[in-house]
Amino acid sequence: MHELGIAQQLIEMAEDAARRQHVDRVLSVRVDIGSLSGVLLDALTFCFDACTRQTLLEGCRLEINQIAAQARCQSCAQTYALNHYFDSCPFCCAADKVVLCGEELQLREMEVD
Amino acid sequence: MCTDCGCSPPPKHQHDAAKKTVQIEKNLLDKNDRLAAQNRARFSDEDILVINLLSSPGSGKTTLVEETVTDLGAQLRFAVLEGDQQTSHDADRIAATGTPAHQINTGSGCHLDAHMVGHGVEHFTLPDTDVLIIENVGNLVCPASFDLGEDLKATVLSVTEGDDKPLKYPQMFRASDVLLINKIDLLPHVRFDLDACRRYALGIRPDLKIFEISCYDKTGMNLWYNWLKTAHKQKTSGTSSCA
Repeated sequence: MHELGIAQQLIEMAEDAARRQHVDRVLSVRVDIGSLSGVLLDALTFCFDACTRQTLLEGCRLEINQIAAQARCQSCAQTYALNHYFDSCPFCCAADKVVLCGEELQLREMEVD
Repeated sequence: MCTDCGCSPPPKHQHDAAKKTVQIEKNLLDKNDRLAAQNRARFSDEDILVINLLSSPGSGKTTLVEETVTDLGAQLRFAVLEGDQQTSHDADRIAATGTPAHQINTGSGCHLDAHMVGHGVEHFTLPDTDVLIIENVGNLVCPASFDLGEDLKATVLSVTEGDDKPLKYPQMFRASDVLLINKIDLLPHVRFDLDACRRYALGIRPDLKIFEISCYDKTGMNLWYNWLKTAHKQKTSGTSSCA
């Protein structure tokens, strides 16, 4: 449900940037969404399409770059794919970890006319 | 002037090359995060410990706040922000204890954000406040993503909800500094594996501070109170980590 708020913030940020560039149409926006960010991609796309109407982003393409999460084990220092926060290290079974990526929620760039 | 070919006056014609890429590289929650940072600076200036209290609906958050402000009211000056979609029931309950309370109604919104909190605290006299408790909207999903400017996130999970909640809603437990396992007096009557719940939660957040409490028979409440007092002392003495 919070995808609505995130979509609104995304549109506001893109509109601000567009105005600063003196352009009146945003053709596409590219975002990084990590697999552990808690954002449901379908919901984000749905909310984005609904909220871009009558904005500088009307008809804009939302390009989502999904980032698979990776962690480094605090015990044996190996890096591994993290499907869930609860996953323990597949090499030594330790739970303590540093999440290296997969929590992104980032507006990277946009294409303007 | 056309920025592509330099033609003037401003052209009606189109350039394919007029498409250009603008780098932004900003977090999607940037605006909320900036407002949260402003809140945090303001609370620090006033030496206020701020707890963002989270849980699913019905875990006993409001009762926990009522008990806490009543039992510690002589030692710490509390203020309580209540977040719910509708009604002022919770703020009324807290106000009945004599503690300053303000209700934020989010309407259809599923979480509090830093902007709401920034305006919410305008209803309090901050210099007369030691601890601000922000009781978030009952929801184990969305509030995890929104920084409010708090020092600590504390999640309440009651034993009637199921021991696997940390696995089902990992973002919330990952973001939390404290877990209060509530209604522990009901343990003989419900299927809730306390050890499994602790293991799941610690697997997601190894440094999570866990309390087992009952607001009904007061089990564990003194440990929670002592921890809260210590956290406040550390905040006012400028020590950063309370958990």
